Amino acid sequence: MPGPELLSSQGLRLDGRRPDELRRIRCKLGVFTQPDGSAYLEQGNTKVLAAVYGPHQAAKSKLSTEGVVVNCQYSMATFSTSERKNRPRGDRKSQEMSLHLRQALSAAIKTELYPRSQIDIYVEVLQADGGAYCASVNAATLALIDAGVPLKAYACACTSSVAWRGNHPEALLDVGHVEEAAGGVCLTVAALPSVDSIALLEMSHRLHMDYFEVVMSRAMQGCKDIEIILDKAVREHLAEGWTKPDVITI
Amino acid sequence: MEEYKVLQPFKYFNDHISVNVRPDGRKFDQQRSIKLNANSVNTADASSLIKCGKTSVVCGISLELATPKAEEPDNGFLVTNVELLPLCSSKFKPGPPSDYAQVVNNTVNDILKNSKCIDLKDLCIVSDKLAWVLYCDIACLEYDGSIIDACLATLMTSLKTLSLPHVIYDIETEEIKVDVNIRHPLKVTGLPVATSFVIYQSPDSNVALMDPTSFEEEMCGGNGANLVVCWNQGLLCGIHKFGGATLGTDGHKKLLNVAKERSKTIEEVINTCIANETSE
Repeated sequence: MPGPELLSSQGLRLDGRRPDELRRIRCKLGVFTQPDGSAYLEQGNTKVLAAVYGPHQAAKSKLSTEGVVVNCQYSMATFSTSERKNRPRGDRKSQEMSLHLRQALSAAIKTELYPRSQIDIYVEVLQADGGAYCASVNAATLALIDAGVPLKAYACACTSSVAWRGNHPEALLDVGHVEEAAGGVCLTVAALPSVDSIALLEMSHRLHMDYFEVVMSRAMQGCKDIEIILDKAVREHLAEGWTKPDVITI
Repeated sequence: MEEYKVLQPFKYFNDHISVNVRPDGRKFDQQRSIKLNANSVNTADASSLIKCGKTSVVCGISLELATPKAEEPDNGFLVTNVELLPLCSSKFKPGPPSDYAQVVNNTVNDILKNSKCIDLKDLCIVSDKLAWVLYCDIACLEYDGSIIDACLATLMTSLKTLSLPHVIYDIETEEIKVDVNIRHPLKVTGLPVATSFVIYQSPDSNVALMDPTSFEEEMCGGNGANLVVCWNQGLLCGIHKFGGATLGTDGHKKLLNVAKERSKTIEEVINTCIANETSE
Protein backbone atom coordinates (compact mmCIF):
# COMPACT_ATOMS: atom_id res chain seq x y z
CA MET A 1 0.00 0.00 0.00
CA PRO A 2 1.42 3.46 -0.87
CA GLY A 3 2.59 5.78 1.89
CA PRO A 4 0.95 9.24 1.69
CA GLU A 5 -2.78 9.43 1.12
CA LEU A 6 -3.28 9.42 -2.64
CA LEU A 7 -7.02 9.81 -2.20
CA SER A 8 -8.54 12.23 0.28
CA SER A 9 -11.68 11.48 2.24
CA GLN A 10 -13.74 13.31 -0.43
CA GLY A 11 -12.24 11.07 -3.09
CA LEU A 12 -9.94 13.73 -4.59
CA ARG A 13 -6.31 13.17 -5.50
CA LEU A 14 -3.26 15.16 -4.39
CA ASP A 15 -3.66 17.70 -7.19
CA GLY A 16 -7.44 17.97 -6.81
CA ARG A 17 -8.40 15.71 -9.68
CA ARG A 18 -11.00 12.94 -9.52
CA PRO A 19 -9.63 9.40 -9.97
CA ASP A 20 -10.80 9.07 -13.58
CA GLU A 21 -9.80 12.55 -14.68
CA LEU A 22 -6.99 13.25 -17.15
CA ARG A 23 -4.74 16.26 -16.74
CA ARG A 24 -5.44 19.15 -19.09
CA ILE A 25 -3.99 18.47 -22.53
CA ARG A 26 -3.09 21.37 -24.78
CA CYS A 27 -1.43 20.68 -28.08
CA LYS A 28 -0.45 22.38 -31.27
CA LEU A 29 0.70 20.95 -34.60
CA GLY A 30 3.18 22.47 -36.97
CA VAL A 31 5.02 24.61 -34.45
CA PHE A 32 8.31 24.56 -36.38
CA THR A 33 8.99 24.91 -40.08
CA GLN A 34 12.38 23.15 -40.35
CA PRO A 35 11.22 19.62 -39.53
CA ASP A 36 8.79 17.86 -41.86
CA GLY A 37 6.36 17.53 -38.99
CA SER A 38 6.35 18.96 -35.48
CA ALA A 39 4.05 19.19 -32.48
CA TYR A 40 4.02 20.62 -28.99
CA LEU A 41 1.99 18.95 -26.27
CA GLU A 42 1.32 19.83 -22.66
CA GLN A 43 -0.19 17.28 -20.30
CA GLY A 44 -0.68 19.13 -17.03
CA ASN A 45 2.79 20.43 -16.19
CA THR A 46 4.62 18.04 -18.50
CA LYS A 47 5.70 19.85 -21.67
CA VAL A 48 7.02 17.94 -24.66
CA LEU A 49 8.18 18.85 -28.17
CA ALA A 50 8.31 16.37 -31.02
CA ALA A 51 9.88 16.76 -34.46
CA VAL A 52 9.75 14.32 -37.38
CA TYR A 53 12.17 14.23 -40.27
CA GLY A 54 11.34 11.94 -43.14
CA PRO A 55 10.74 9.60 -44.70
CA HIS A 56 14.15 10.10 -46.26
CA GLN A 57 16.92 7.87 -47.54
CA ALA A 58 18.17 5.45 -44.90
CA ALA A 59 21.81 5.18 -43.91
CA LYS A 60 23.35 2.11 -45.55
CA SER A 61 23.86 0.38 -42.21
CA LYS A 62 20.24 0.81 -41.20
CA LEU A 63 18.61 0.04 -44.52
CA SER A 64 15.75 -2.46 -44.55
CA THR A 65 14.03 -3.74 -47.67
CA GLU A 66 10.95 -4.79 -45.73
CA GLY A 67 9.82 -1.48 -44.41
CA VAL A 68 10.78 1.91 -43.13
CA VAL A 69 13.30 2.13 -40.29
CA VAL A 70 11.94 4.23 -37.43
CA ASN A 71 14.64 6.01 -35.49
CA CYS A 72 13.64 7.68 -32.22
CA GLN A 73 15.57 9.85 -29.85
CA TYR A 74 14.11 10.69 -26.46
CA SER A 75 15.91 13.56 -24.80
CA MET A 76 15.15 15.37 -21.55
CA ALA A 77 16.36 18.94 -21.24
CA THR A 78 18.76 19.37 -18.35
CA PHE A 79 16.40 21.86 -16.71
CA SER A 80 13.32 19.66 -17.15
CA THR A 81 13.45 18.01 -13.76
CA SER A 82 13.61 19.71 -10.38
CA GLU A 83 17.16 18.40 -9.95
CA ARG A 84 19.40 19.15 -12.89
CA LYS A 85 19.66 16.16 -15.19
CA ASN A 86 23.30 15.69 -16.05
CA ARG A 87 22.99 13.46 -19.08
CA PRO A 88 20.10 14.50 -21.32
CA ARG A 89 20.54 11.48 -23.57
CA GLY A 90 22.74 8.43 -23.79
CA ASP A 91 22.04 7.24 -20.27
CA ARG A 92 20.17 3.99 -19.77
CA LYS A 93 16.80 5.52 -18.98
CA SER A 94 16.77 7.68 -22.12
CA GLN A 95 17.91 4.79 -24.30
CA GLU A 96 15.16 2.63 -22.86
CA MET A 97 12.60 5.37 -23.46
CA SER A 98 13.85 5.82 -27.03
CA LEU A 99 13.44 2.11 -27.64
CA HIS A 100 9.93 2.08 -26.15
CA LEU A 101 8.97 5.05 -28.27
CA ARG A 102 10.23 3.29 -31.37
CA GLN A 103 8.29 0.15 -30.50
CA ALA A 104 5.05 2.01 -29.85
CA LEU A 105 5.27 4.18 -32.97
CA SER A 106 6.41 1.37 -35.29
CA ALA A 107 3.17 -0.39 -34.41
CA ALA A 108 1.20 2.62 -35.62
CA ILE A 109 3.12 3.59 -38.76
CA LYS A 110 2.40 1.78 -42.02
CA THR A 111 5.99 0.70 -42.34
CA GLU A 112 5.52 -1.44 -45.45
CA LEU A 113 4.93 1.68 -47.56
CA TYR A 114 8.50 3.03 -47.39
CA PRO A 115 11.14 0.33 -47.77
CA ARG A 116 14.80 1.46 -47.78
CA SER A 117 13.78 4.69 -46.04
CA GLN A 118 14.14 6.12 -42.57
CA ILE A 119 11.91 8.25 -40.38
CA ASP A 120 13.63 10.21 -37.58
CA ILE A 121 11.54 11.17 -34.58
CA TYR A 122 13.10 13.49 -32.02
CA VAL A 123 11.36 14.17 -28.76
CA GLU A 124 12.53 16.81 -26.31
CA VAL A 125 11.02 16.96 -22.83
CA LEU A 126 11.12 20.57 -21.65
CA GLN A 127 9.37 20.05 -18.34
CA ALA A 128 8.82 16.68 -16.66
CA ASP A 129 6.04 16.22 -14.14
CA GLY A 130 5.20 12.55 -14.50
CA GLY A 131 3.95 10.82 -17.62
CA ALA A 132 6.72 12.18 -19.82
CA TYR A 133 6.76 8.97 -21.89
CA CYS A 134 3.01 9.17 -22.51
CA ALA A 135 3.19 12.82 -23.49
CA SER A 136 6.06 11.90 -25.84
CA VAL A 137 4.04 9.21 -27.60
CA ASN A 138 1.08 11.56 -27.97
CA ALA A 139 3.25 14.41 -29.25
CA ALA A 140 5.08 12.09 -31.65
CA THR A 141 1.76 10.88 -33.08
CA LEU A 142 0.73 14.48 -33.76
CA ALA A 143 4.10 15.24 -35.32
CA LEU A 144 3.81 12.19 -37.59
CA ILE A 145 0.37 13.35 -38.70
CA ASP A 146 1.75 16.83 -39.35
CA ALA A 147 4.52 15.27 -41.45
CA GLY A 148 1.97 13.33 -43.46
CA VAL A 149 3.28 9.88 -42.55
CA PRO A 150 0.48 7.31 -43.04
CA LEU A 151 -0.64 5.75 -39.77
CA LYS A 152 -2.85 2.74 -39.10
CA ALA A 153 -4.41 4.57 -36.13
CA TYR A 154 -3.57 7.20 -33.54
CA ALA A 155 -1.01 5.97 -31.03
CA CYS A 156 -1.99 7.22 -27.58
CA ALA A 157 -0.37 6.47 -24.26
CA CYS A 158 -1.61 6.78 -20.72
CA THR A 159 -0.59 5.76 -17.22
CA SER A 160 -2.73 4.47 -14.43
CA SER A 161 -2.22 3.49 -10.85
CA VAL A 162 -4.30 2.25 -7.94
CA ALA A 163 -5.15 3.88 -4.60
CA TRP A 164 -7.09 2.59 -1.66
CA ARG A 165 -10.21 4.11 -0.23
CA GLY A 166 -10.82 2.04 2.87
CA ASN A 167 -10.55 -1.48 1.51
CA HIS A 168 -11.90 -0.60 -1.87
CA PRO A 169 -9.35 -0.13 -4.69
CA GLU A 170 -9.82 2.91 -6.89
CA ALA A 171 -7.93 3.13 -10.19
CA LEU A 172 -6.20 6.48 -10.79
CA LEU A 173 -5.77 7.81 -14.31
CA ASP A 174 -2.77 9.78 -15.61
CA VAL A 175 -0.29 9.62 -12.74
CA GLY A 176 1.62 12.79 -11.89
CA HIS A 177 5.18 12.95 -10.55
CA VAL A 178 4.18 13.12 -6.87
CA GLU A 179 1.90 10.09 -7.17
CA GLU A 180 4.60 8.17 -9.05
CA ALA A 181 7.19 8.98 -6.40
CA ALA A 182 4.85 7.80 -3.63
CA GLY A 183 5.78 4.26 -4.60
CA GLY A 184 2.50 2.85 -5.88
CA VAL A 185 2.13 0.65 -8.92
CA CYS A 186 2.33 2.46 -12.27
CA LEU A 187 0.98 0.88 -15.43
CA THR A 188 1.90 2.51 -18.76
CA VAL A 189 -0.13 1.62 -21.82
CA ALA A 190 0.58 2.74 -25.38
CA ALA A 191 -2.40 1.71 -27.49
CA LEU A 192 -4.07 2.18 -30.86
CA PRO A 193 -7.53 2.89 -29.42
CA SER A 194 -9.55 2.96 -32.64
CA VAL A 195 -8.51 -0.59 -33.52
CA ASP A 196 -8.56 -1.62 -29.86
CA SER A 197 -4.97 -2.86 -29.81
CA ILE A 198 -2.13 -2.44 -27.39
CA ALA A 199 1.29 -1.49 -28.76
CA LEU A 200 3.23 -1.34 -25.51
CA LEU A 201 2.51 -2.30 -21.92
CA GLU A 202 4.74 -1.68 -18.96
CA MET A 203 4.15 -2.01 -15.26
CA SER A 204 6.36 -1.32 -12.28
CA HIS A 205 5.87 -2.52 -8.68
CA ARG A 206 3.50 -5.20 -7.45
CA LEU A 207 -0.18 -5.46 -8.20
CA HIS A 208 -2.57 -8.23 -7.21
CA MET A 209 -4.04 -10.06 -10.21
CA ASP A 210 -7.59 -9.33 -9.04
CA TYR A 211 -7.06 -5.60 -9.50
CA PHE A 212 -5.19 -5.74 -12.77
CA GLU A 213 -8.34 -5.66 -14.87
CA VAL A 214 -9.56 -2.49 -13.14
CA VAL A 215 -6.28 -0.63 -13.64
CA MET A 216 -5.90 -1.87 -17.21
CA SER A 217 -9.39 -0.86 -18.30
CA ARG A 218 -8.95 2.59 -16.73
CA ALA A 219 -5.75 3.10 -18.72
CA MET A 220 -7.40 1.93 -21.96
CA GLN A 221 -10.28 4.32 -21.35
CA GLY A 222 -7.72 7.07 -20.82
CA CYS A 223 -6.13 6.24 -24.18
CA LYS A 224 -9.53 6.46 -25.88
CA ASP A 225 -10.17 9.86 -24.28
CA ILE A 226 -6.76 11.10 -25.35
CA GLU A 227 -7.44 9.95 -28.91
CA ILE A 228 -10.58 12.10 -29.01
CA ILE A 229 -8.57 15.12 -27.83
CA LEU A 230 -5.78 14.54 -30.36
CA ASP A 231 -8.26 14.00 -33.20
CA LYS A 232 -9.99 17.27 -32.36
CA ALA A 233 -6.67 19.10 -32.38
CA VAL A 234 -5.74 17.62 -35.77
CA ARG A 235 -9.06 18.61 -37.31
CA GLU A 236 -8.78 22.15 -35.94
CA HIS A 237 -5.26 22.47 -37.31
CA LEU A 238 -6.36 21.36 -40.76
CA ALA A 239 -9.43 23.58 -40.74
CA GLU A 240 -7.22 26.55 -39.87
CA GLY A 241 -5.00 25.82 -42.85
CA TRP A 242 -7.88 25.65 -45.26
CA THR A 243 -9.95 28.63 -44.22
CA LYS A 244 -7.00 31.04 -44.17
CA PRO A 245 -7.04 32.93 -47.51
CA ASP A 246 -4.07 32.11 -49.68
CA VAL A 247 -1.68 34.98 -50.13
CA ILE A 248 -0.66 35.34 -53.73
CA THR A 249 2.62 37.10 -54.44
CA ILE A 250 3.73 38.18 -57.84
CA MET B 1 8.89 30.09 -56.82
CA GLU B 2 9.86 27.30 -54.45
CA GLU B 3 11.35 25.24 -57.29
CA TYR B 4 13.46 28.21 -58.37
CA LYS B 5 14.78 28.54 -54.82
CA VAL B 6 15.72 24.85 -54.65
CA LEU B 7 17.16 24.45 -58.16
CA GLN B 8 19.13 27.66 -58.40
CA PRO B 9 19.60 29.06 -54.92
CA PHE B 10 22.47 31.40 -55.75
CA LYS B 11 20.67 33.00 -58.66
CA TYR B 12 17.48 33.28 -56.61
CA PHE B 13 19.39 35.02 -53.83
CA ASN B 14 21.33 37.28 -56.15
CA ASP B 15 18.17 38.41 -57.94
CA HIS B 16 16.79 39.61 -54.62
CA ILE B 17 19.95 41.32 -53.38
CA SER B 18 20.48 43.16 -56.67
CA VAL B 19 17.20 45.02 -56.14
CA ASN B 20 18.04 45.80 -52.51
CA VAL B 21 15.64 43.37 -50.89
CA ARG B 22 16.07 40.05 -49.06
CA PRO B 23 14.17 36.84 -49.88
CA ASP B 24 11.81 37.36 -46.93
CA GLY B 25 11.14 40.97 -47.93
CA ARG B 26 13.26 42.68 -45.28
CA LYS B 27 15.71 45.52 -45.87
CA PHE B 28 19.40 44.80 -45.34
CA ASP B 29 19.46 46.23 -41.82
CA GLN B 30 16.02 45.16 -40.70
CA GLN B 31 15.45 42.91 -37.72
CA ARG B 32 13.03 39.98 -37.66
CA SER B 33 10.08 40.08 -35.26
CA ILE B 34 11.04 39.01 -31.74
CA LYS B 35 8.87 37.27 -29.17
CA LEU B 36 10.38 36.88 -25.72
CA ASN B 37 8.92 35.10 -22.71
CA ALA B 38 10.33 34.69 -19.21
CA ASN B 39 9.58 31.91 -16.67
CA SER B 40 8.59 29.51 -19.43
CA VAL B 41 9.73 26.34 -17.66
CA ASN B 42 8.77 26.07 -14.00
CA THR B 43 11.12 23.19 -13.14
CA ALA B 44 14.11 25.46 -13.75
CA ASP B 45 15.09 28.19 -11.30
CA ALA B 46 14.90 30.76 -14.08
CA SER B 47 14.08 30.32 -17.72
CA SER B 48 13.18 32.15 -20.85
CA LEU B 49 12.17 31.43 -24.43
CA ILE B 50 12.89 33.59 -27.46
CA LYS B 51 11.51 33.37 -30.97
CA CYS B 52 13.43 35.59 -33.38
CA GLY B 53 11.69 35.06 -36.69
CA LYS B 54 11.78 31.26 -36.84
CA THR B 55 14.81 30.77 -34.60
CA SER B 56 13.57 29.46 -31.24
CA VAL B 57 15.87 29.08 -28.26
CA VAL B 58 15.01 28.20 -24.68
CA CYS B 59 17.32 28.75 -21.71
CA GLY B 60 16.95 27.16 -18.28
CA ILE B 61 19.09 27.94 -15.26
CA SER B 62 19.53 25.34 -12.52
CA LEU B 63 21.17 26.06 -9.20
CA GLU B 64 23.40 23.71 -7.27
CA LEU B 65 25.70 24.05 -4.29
CA ALA B 66 29.37 23.16 -4.42
CA THR B 67 32.70 23.80 -2.74
CA PRO B 68 34.73 26.58 -4.35
CA LYS B 69 38.05 25.76 -5.99
CA ALA B 70 41.03 25.92 -3.65
CA GLU B 71 42.84 28.53 -5.75
CA GLU B 72 39.70 30.72 -5.99
CA PRO B 73 37.95 30.40 -2.63
CA ASP B 74 35.71 33.42 -3.11
CA ASN B 75 34.34 32.52 -6.51
CA GLY B 76 31.21 30.62 -7.41
CA PHE B 77 30.74 28.86 -10.75
CA LEU B 78 28.95 29.86 -13.91
CA VAL B 79 28.67 27.10 -16.49
CA THR B 80 27.02 27.64 -19.85
CA ASN B 81 26.04 24.86 -22.20
CA VAL B 82 24.56 25.42 -25.63
CA GLU B 83 22.87 22.46 -27.30
CA LEU B 84 21.98 22.38 -30.97
CA LEU B 85 19.44 19.57 -30.84
CA PRO B 86 18.89 17.34 -33.86
CA LEU B 87 15.26 18.37 -33.78
CA CYS B 88 16.10 21.97 -34.56
CA SER B 89 17.37 21.33 -38.06
CA SER B 90 18.19 18.47 -40.38
CA LYS B 91 21.78 19.80 -40.49
CA PHE B 92 22.44 18.53 -36.98
CA LYS B 93 22.64 14.79 -36.49
CA PRO B 94 22.27 13.02 -33.15
CA GLY B 95 25.45 12.26 -31.27
CA PRO B 96 28.13 14.26 -29.49
CA PRO B 97 28.14 18.06 -30.03
CA SER B 98 29.41 19.01 -33.47
CA ASP B 99 32.27 21.48 -34.01
CA TYR B 100 29.78 24.20 -34.79
CA ALA B 101 27.84 23.61 -31.58
CA GLN B 102 31.05 23.80 -29.57
CA VAL B 103 32.04 27.06 -31.27
CA VAL B 104 28.65 28.61 -30.48
CA ASN B 105 28.93 27.41 -26.90
CA ASN B 106 32.39 28.90 -26.53
CA THR B 107 31.42 32.22 -28.11
CA VAL B 108 28.43 32.67 -25.81
CA ASN B 109 30.57 31.69 -22.82
CA ASP B 110 33.31 34.15 -23.79
CA ILE B 111 30.86 37.00 -24.27
CA LEU B 112 29.32 36.33 -20.88
CA LYS B 113 32.66 36.05 -19.08
CA ASN B 114 34.18 39.09 -20.79
CA SER B 115 31.22 41.33 -20.12
CA LYS B 116 31.68 40.67 -16.39
CA CYS B 117 27.94 41.08 -15.91
CA ILE B 118 27.96 38.44 -13.19
CA ASP B 119 30.54 38.77 -10.44
CA LEU B 120 31.50 35.27 -9.38
CA LYS B 121 32.11 36.62 -5.89
CA ASP B 122 28.34 37.25 -5.60
CA LEU B 123 27.83 33.52 -5.99
CA CYS B 124 29.99 32.67 -3.00
CA ILE B 125 28.11 31.94 0.23
CA VAL B 126 30.92 31.09 2.63
CA SER B 127 34.50 31.60 1.46
CA ASP B 128 36.30 28.34 0.71
CA LYS B 129 33.34 26.27 1.94
CA LEU B 130 30.17 26.85 -0.04
CA ALA B 131 29.26 28.54 -3.30
CA TRP B 132 26.51 28.49 -5.89
CA VAL B 133 26.91 26.82 -9.25
CA LEU B 134 24.80 28.35 -12.01
CA TYR B 135 24.17 25.83 -14.77
CA CYS B 136 22.88 27.79 -17.75
CA ASP B 137 21.52 25.31 -20.28
CA ILE B 138 20.55 26.77 -23.61
CA ALA B 139 18.71 24.51 -26.04
CA CYS B 140 17.99 25.48 -29.61
CA LEU B 141 14.53 24.28 -30.63
CA GLU B 142 14.47 25.61 -34.16
CA TYR B 143 17.47 26.81 -36.11
CA ASP B 144 16.98 29.61 -38.63
CA GLY B 145 20.17 31.67 -38.36
CA SER B 146 21.51 34.23 -35.87
CA ILE B 147 21.82 31.61 -33.19
CA ILE B 148 24.33 33.51 -31.05
CA ASP B 149 22.03 36.55 -30.80
CA ALA B 150 19.13 34.44 -29.64
CA CYS B 151 21.21 32.41 -27.17
CA LEU B 152 22.66 35.50 -25.54
CA ALA B 153 19.31 37.30 -25.33
CA THR B 154 17.57 34.37 -23.72
CA LEU B 155 20.50 33.81 -21.35
CA MET B 156 20.49 37.44 -20.19
CA THR B 157 16.72 37.40 -19.65
CA SER B 158 16.99 34.26 -17.52
CA LEU B 159 19.88 35.69 -15.49
CA LYS B 160 17.96 38.89 -14.85
CA THR B 161 14.91 36.98 -13.57
CA LEU B 162 16.98 34.62 -11.40
CA SER B 163 16.86 34.91 -7.63
CA LEU B 164 19.07 32.91 -5.29
CA PRO B 165 17.52 31.24 -2.23
CA HIS B 166 18.78 32.16 1.19
CA VAL B 167 21.37 29.73 2.56
CA ILE B 168 22.31 29.32 6.21
CA TYR B 169 25.63 27.54 6.73
CA ASP B 170 26.65 26.45 10.21
CA ILE B 171 30.46 26.51 10.24
CA GLU B 172 30.84 24.16 13.23
CA THR B 173 28.43 21.40 12.22
CA GLU B 174 28.89 22.04 8.46
CA GLU B 175 25.14 21.89 8.12
CA ILE B 176 23.51 23.56 5.13
CA LYS B 177 19.98 24.91 5.31
CA VAL B 178 18.36 26.34 2.20
CA ASP B 179 15.25 28.46 2.54
CA VAL B 180 13.54 28.70 -0.84
CA ASN B 181 11.00 31.20 0.40
CA ILE B 182 13.52 33.97 1.01
CA ARG B 183 15.20 34.85 -2.25
CA HIS B 184 17.75 37.44 -3.23
CA PRO B 185 17.80 38.60 -6.86
CA LEU B 186 21.06 37.93 -8.65
CA LYS B 187 23.06 41.07 -9.31
CA VAL B 188 23.53 41.53 -13.05
CA THR B 189 25.48 44.57 -14.23
CA GLY B 190 25.09 45.54 -17.83
CA LEU B 191 23.36 43.66 -20.60
CA PRO B 192 25.52 42.36 -23.45
CA VAL B 193 23.61 42.05 -26.72
CA ALA B 194 25.03 40.31 -29.78
CA THR B 195 24.12 41.13 -33.36
CA SER B 196 24.96 38.84 -36.26
CA PHE B 197 25.71 39.91 -39.78
CA VAL B 198 26.58 38.01 -42.92
CA ILE B 199 28.49 39.57 -45.77
CA TYR B 200 27.39 38.72 -49.26
CA GLN B 201 29.91 38.86 -52.03
CA SER B 202 27.91 40.14 -54.96
CA PRO B 203 29.57 40.87 -58.34
CA ASP B 204 29.29 44.65 -57.81
CA SER B 205 30.10 45.20 -54.16
CA ASN B 206 29.84 43.44 -50.85
CA VAL B 207 26.70 43.97 -48.82
CA ALA B 208 26.11 43.23 -45.19
CA LEU B 209 22.82 41.69 -44.03
CA MET B 210 21.73 41.94 -40.43
CA ASP B 211 20.04 39.11 -38.54
CA PRO B 212 20.48 36.50 -41.29
CA THR B 213 18.19 33.52 -41.73
CA SER B 214 19.63 30.06 -42.21
CA PHE B 215 19.25 30.30 -46.00
CA GLU B 216 21.09 33.64 -46.09
CA GLU B 217 23.87 32.21 -43.94
CA GLU B 218 24.29 29.30 -46.35
CA MET B 219 24.48 31.65 -49.33
CA CYS B 220 27.12 33.81 -47.69
CA GLY B 221 29.73 31.27 -46.75
CA GLY B 222 27.94 28.59 -44.74
CA ASN B 223 26.43 28.39 -41.27
CA GLY B 224 28.69 30.01 -38.77
CA ALA B 225 30.55 32.36 -41.12
CA ASN B 226 29.06 35.34 -39.35
CA LEU B 227 30.27 38.62 -38.01
CA VAL B 228 29.05 38.97 -34.44
CA VAL B 229 29.16 42.37 -32.77
CA CYS B 230 28.42 42.78 -29.06
CA TRP B 231 27.41 45.97 -27.35
CA ASN B 232 26.94 46.29 -23.64
CA GLN B 233 24.83 49.35 -22.85
CA GLY B 234 26.66 51.73 -25.14
CA LEU B 235 30.09 50.12 -24.80
CA LEU B 236 31.50 47.87 -27.48
CA CYS B 237 32.34 44.62 -25.78
CA GLY B 238 33.23 42.18 -28.51
CA ILE B 239 33.60 41.50 -32.20
CA HIS B 240 33.94 38.00 -33.63
CA LYS B 241 34.37 37.30 -37.32
CA PHE B 242 34.27 33.70 -38.37
CA GLY B 243 35.52 33.77 -41.93
CA GLY B 244 33.23 34.50 -44.84
CA ALA B 245 33.44 37.44 -47.25
CA THR B 246 35.12 40.71 -46.32
CA LEU B 247 33.97 44.29 -46.04
CA GLY B 248 36.14 47.42 -45.97
CA THR B 249 36.81 49.30 -42.73
CA ASP B 250 34.19 51.95 -43.55
CA GLY B 251 31.64 49.23 -44.04
CA HIS B 252 32.60 47.75 -40.68
CA LYS B 253 32.17 51.11 -38.93
CA LYS B 254 28.66 51.40 -40.32
CA LEU B 255 27.86 47.91 -39.06
CA LEU B 256 29.04 48.79 -35.58
CA ASN B 257 26.52 51.63 -35.50
CA VAL B 258 23.73 49.40 -36.80
CA ALA B 259 24.55 46.88 -34.08
CA LYS B 260 24.53 49.65 -31.47
CA GLU B 261 21.03 50.75 -32.49
CA ARG B 262 19.82 47.16 -32.45
CA SER B 263 21.27 46.52 -29.01
CA LYS B 264 19.12 49.37 -27.67
CA THR B 265 16.01 47.73 -29.16
CA ILE B 266 16.88 44.33 -27.71
CA GLU B 267 17.57 45.85 -24.28
CA GLU B 268 14.15 47.46 -24.36
CA VAL B 269 12.52 44.15 -25.33
CA ILE B 270 14.26 42.31 -22.50
CA ASN B 271 13.45 44.97 -19.90
CA THR B 272 9.80 45.16 -20.98
CA CYS B 273 9.49 41.38 -20.83
CA ILE B 274 10.95 41.21 -17.33
CA ALA B 275 8.78 44.12 -16.14
CA ASN B 276 5.66 42.37 -17.45
CA GLU B 277 6.70 39.14 -15.81
CA THR B 278 7.35 40.65 -12.38
CA SER B 279 4.17 42.72 -12.42
CA GLU B 280 2.02 39.63 -12.96
